[in-house]
This record gives sequence, structure tokens and C-alpha cells, in this order.
Amino acid sequence: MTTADPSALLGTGVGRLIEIAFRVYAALVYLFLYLPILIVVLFSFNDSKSVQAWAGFTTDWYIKAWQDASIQSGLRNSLIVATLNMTAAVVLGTLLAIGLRKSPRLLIAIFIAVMYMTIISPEIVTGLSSLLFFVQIGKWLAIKNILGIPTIVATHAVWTSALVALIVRARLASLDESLNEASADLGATPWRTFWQITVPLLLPAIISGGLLAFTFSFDDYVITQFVSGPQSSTLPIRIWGMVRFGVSPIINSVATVILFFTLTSVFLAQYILTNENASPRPLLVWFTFVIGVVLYGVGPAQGFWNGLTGLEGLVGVATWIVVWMVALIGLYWVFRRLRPSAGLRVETAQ
Amino acid sequence: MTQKKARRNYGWLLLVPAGIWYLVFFLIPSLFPLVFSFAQSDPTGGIFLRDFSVDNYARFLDCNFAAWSQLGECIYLKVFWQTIVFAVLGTLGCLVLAYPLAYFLATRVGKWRTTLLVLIIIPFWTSFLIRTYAWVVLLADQGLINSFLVDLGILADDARIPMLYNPFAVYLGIIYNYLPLMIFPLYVSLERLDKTLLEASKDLGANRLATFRNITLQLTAPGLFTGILLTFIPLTGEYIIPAILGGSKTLLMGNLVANQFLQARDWAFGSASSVMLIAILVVFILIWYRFSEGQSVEVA
Repeated sequence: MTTADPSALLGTGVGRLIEIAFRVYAALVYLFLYLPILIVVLFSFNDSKSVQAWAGFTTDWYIKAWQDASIQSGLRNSLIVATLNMTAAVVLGTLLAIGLRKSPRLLIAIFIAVMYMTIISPEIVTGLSSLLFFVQIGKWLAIKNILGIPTIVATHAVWTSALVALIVRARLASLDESLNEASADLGATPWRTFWQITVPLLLPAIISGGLLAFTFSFDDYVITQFVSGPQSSTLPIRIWGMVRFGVSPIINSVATVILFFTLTSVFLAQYILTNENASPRPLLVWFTFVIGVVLYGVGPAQGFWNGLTGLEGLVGVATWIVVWMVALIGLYWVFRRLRPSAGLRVETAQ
Repeated sequence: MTQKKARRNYGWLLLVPAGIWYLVFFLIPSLFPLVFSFAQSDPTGGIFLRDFSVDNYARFLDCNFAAWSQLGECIYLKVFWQTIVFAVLGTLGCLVLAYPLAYFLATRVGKWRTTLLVLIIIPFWTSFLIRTYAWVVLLADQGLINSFLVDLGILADDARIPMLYNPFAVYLGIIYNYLPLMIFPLYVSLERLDKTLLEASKDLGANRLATFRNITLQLTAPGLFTGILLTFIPLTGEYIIPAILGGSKTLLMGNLVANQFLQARDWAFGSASSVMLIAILVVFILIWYRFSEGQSVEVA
């Protein structure tokens, strides 16, 4: 059906040849993009330490990865960093996108330029600038070991919030301004209009922006490597350390698990956000399940508290609980909001 | 009136958090390498903010051009030049390979279009390091591709093709990782292209090549320029790909800078090297701006 048009238009033998060449070329590009990923997934089940030949099916590498202390602590740090970063990026980016709407032209131009700069500037430059900055601040303020999770989050939130802002801004451009005015005319305060009109309407953009912010922060190696301290190595840093000593099937299994969780979450989110009538419940259940597994895996099951003692331990445990309480409550709140927003979108479309 | 004014103030306030964040954690830190490149390194790590001089730049530019071809001569300038070559050729490679695919996606694919586009992004959701490392498994002398060819009897066991730890592997890694950044802006502008113009051109007697050159290429220039910008700038600072796939032979500015910061601990010289890296970008952006004349598309 789809190919009938151009083929008929071209008709001749040369035209048909070009059509075939296009298809073959596209297939080759997709093969090129997916070959490494296929290798990773396949060899995570390979019953051999070698990555050169297939030696039968096993799931041992998954168990070994799960029990590996450096992967555990890396995963824990990555999850903390990515969650905090997502929160910061969503708040900063959403406020930025909404604020830009009613700003003077010059201010908009400046902010947009800075936002694009933060996104496309080479990661190594961002990383080393932040390293120099934080170390110098540490010297001036006499803070020992300033590098850690806070510095990673501060640096990640710069470009991930710009990303969220661009996505939310694109959605904002397609919204009907008169809804805000109607809300104001009906006597709502700006605060109430913001929570009851703007946020629900922007929710799809905020969620996809937040997911991106989480994923990019979780996967970032270059910037993180510059601004992380000895105690705050994230998963990519651990992976890099392992990769330097030659490839291990453990890494393949970690990558496969990450791919599986990201893909499932993103597809579920996409499905719910594009189908107005779909129930958000599967997504909520799925996220709760993922969070539960991760909580169990990096917490009680592997002695998350072991290295921490005294006050430090108490603060660590408290932070851990608060972070995940906030995450769960946040998710619950988000899905409570999702329904009215879907209804509202239908109404505005009419 | 008063209500309108109140709303204006409210909108402006929303910019404050992000504004402060960008100022403190991005714009101010951006100035640090520039200042530190004139300072002296503390051998234990860190910087002495005194004895300002241009020593670090002198070291970078130190070169005996007569002995250019000799090993160990002009090492930093050679790295500088090699980075420019890799960034330009890598961007061109992405452009040439991405255009046909973007064209295919924009004109030939119907209901599968969204799926195919999503399929291009999915690789981004797995670990960048692991994906790049998978190429080592594929390209090594004892790797999957060579072994496969030997098993088929196409290659002799002692004549395996050296595909890893050379510039070829680095270009392959670059194209593999940066291709999507080129495909998307090209796709956006090709999708907006008015197809009736192509028919008009054909009706007026232009052949396929002339139509492509005069209509398609001209009208998709914004996507082209955006793609080049999005690819070239991060590519110039790339150092993971040469570190994993290039072996010790392919040293780029990114590797030089990272080594100074993370291994040699010579932060002042590292800062000077990063300023040289930024200099490449500034020159590139000036050239880009001169040619693009504000043509670009937003990819959100």
C-alpha cells in the first residue's frame, strides 16, 4: 500500500532498482544499529567466560551480577543520582518552560541559547569545568571531599533540565492559552490555575521529559567520572572499570536487565499517554514492582546498611527511605492526575 | 490592568530557579578552565592560583615543524590536527549515511514510520559504554566477524582482517553512536518537504539528479545544518570511542584532556588543552553560522 505510490510514479526499471536499493540500505542500517545490542543480549546467556563462541545457555551471569558488590553499590548510587536528578530536572525544566512563555523576547533568546549550549556542549568540557569549579569552591569553603552525589546531581540537572524544558515548551506551544484565562476569570488564583489546569495538561510532556532525564543521568559516564568522588561511583563508572580488564559476561547481563526495564517502562508510558482510554493501573503496578525489586536488591538483600555506621548510617538509611517514599507518593500522585487530564484533553479538542 | 501586571511578574519569577542553577553550575564553571589554563598545577592534584603565565599554551604549541614527521615531535599539535580531521570526516560520514535513511523514512514508509523512528532511538537507552564495547567483540582478530569469515572458509586463519585498534574502528564507532543525531533533523526537514514541488520539477523536464540537487537538497538545508551542528560539537570532545576502539594509536583532544585530568593530574595543562578544544568549536560555529544564515530546525 505504502510503496505503491512512489513506485507507480517512477515506473521504470531504474525506479524499481532505486526502490529496492532504499530497502536494502535501510535494512543494513538497522542491522548495523542492532548488531552490538543483539551480541550483548545473546552473550549474557552464554555458558562460557569467553565471548568468542557460543557454549550453551545459562543464567549464571545474572546471579553473579546480582551478587557483585561493586555492581550493587554502583547501582545504588546510580539510582539515587538519577532519581534526585529527575526530580530537580522536572521542577527546574517545567518552571523554566512555563516562565519562558510570558517573558520578553530578549530573555527568551538568551535562555534558549544557554539551554542549547548546555545540551550540545561536549560532555568532557562540561565535566572538567564543573570539576575545577567544585574543587575550587571546596578549597575556598574548606570542605573536604566536596565531590559526591550532590555534585553529580548539580551537574546532571543542568542539561537534563534544559531537555525537560524543551520538551515541555513544545507541548506548551500547542496548548490553548484561553484555558488559563478562563480559570483566572472564574476566580482561581494563579497557584490554583497552575496545579489544576497547567500541570495536568503538561503531564505527558513532563513524564516523557522526566523519563529521559532519569535515563540520561543513569547512563552518563563522561561527566559523572569528573564530578564523582571515591564513595559515589555510579554504575557506568563500575562498568568502565570492568571493561578495562576485558569484557565479562556479567556486564552483558547488567546491560540486558537495564535495557529490559527501560524498554518496558517507556513502552508502557507511551501506550498510556497516547491512548486516552487506557488505564494507568498497569504502569503503576509495573513501576511499583520495579521499585520493589530494586529496593530489595540493593537494600536488605545485599546489606545496603553494612558499610554505614553511627550517625552517617542513620542519615543514609533515612535518605534512602525518604527518596523512595517520595518516588512512590509522586508516582501515585501523578497517576491520580492522569485521568482528569485525559478528560480535559478530549474536551479541548472539541 | 493590575491583574495582567501581576501575571507578568509571576511568569518572570519562574525563570529564577533555572536561571540561578545555570549561572552557578554551568556559566560560571565554564570560565574556570580559561582562568586555570594560565595558572600552575599542584603536583598533588589541584591548582595554584598564582604565577600566571602562558607556559601551558607554549607547551601545547611547542613544535619543530622541520621534524614534524618524526615520532614524538609536535605531539600536541598532531593530536589537535587529528581531532579536526576525525570530527570533519566523522560528521561527513554520518551525513552521507544518514541522508538516504532519513529520505527513506520520510517518503517511503507509511504506517511503520513511528515504529522505525522509535527503533532508531532505542539503542540510546542501553549503556553507551557497553554498546561501544560490543564492537570490540565483533571486530577483534579473534572476534565474531573474523571467526565467522574463517569458519566459512573465506579467510585463512592466519590472514584475519585487522579491524580493531585502528582509525577504521574509531570511525565505525563514531558513525554508530552519532548517526541518530544526524537522522532526526534530516528526517524532520525532509518530512516537511512539499512533495508536489518534486513532481513539478519532474514535469518541467528535470531529471532525478537535478531535482534532488535543486529542490530536495536546497529545501532540506535547515535539517542538514542542524544535523551537522548536533554531530560535530559533541564529536570534537569525544574520547570514549577512541579509548575503547582506537587502541593507543588514535589519540584525540578528548583523550589528551581526560588523561591530564584523570591520570597525569596536570590540571593547568589539561585546562589549556581544553581551551584549545573549545577554540576548534568556536571556529567551527563561526563558519557554521556564516553558511547557515540562521537556517536550522528545532528537534524536540
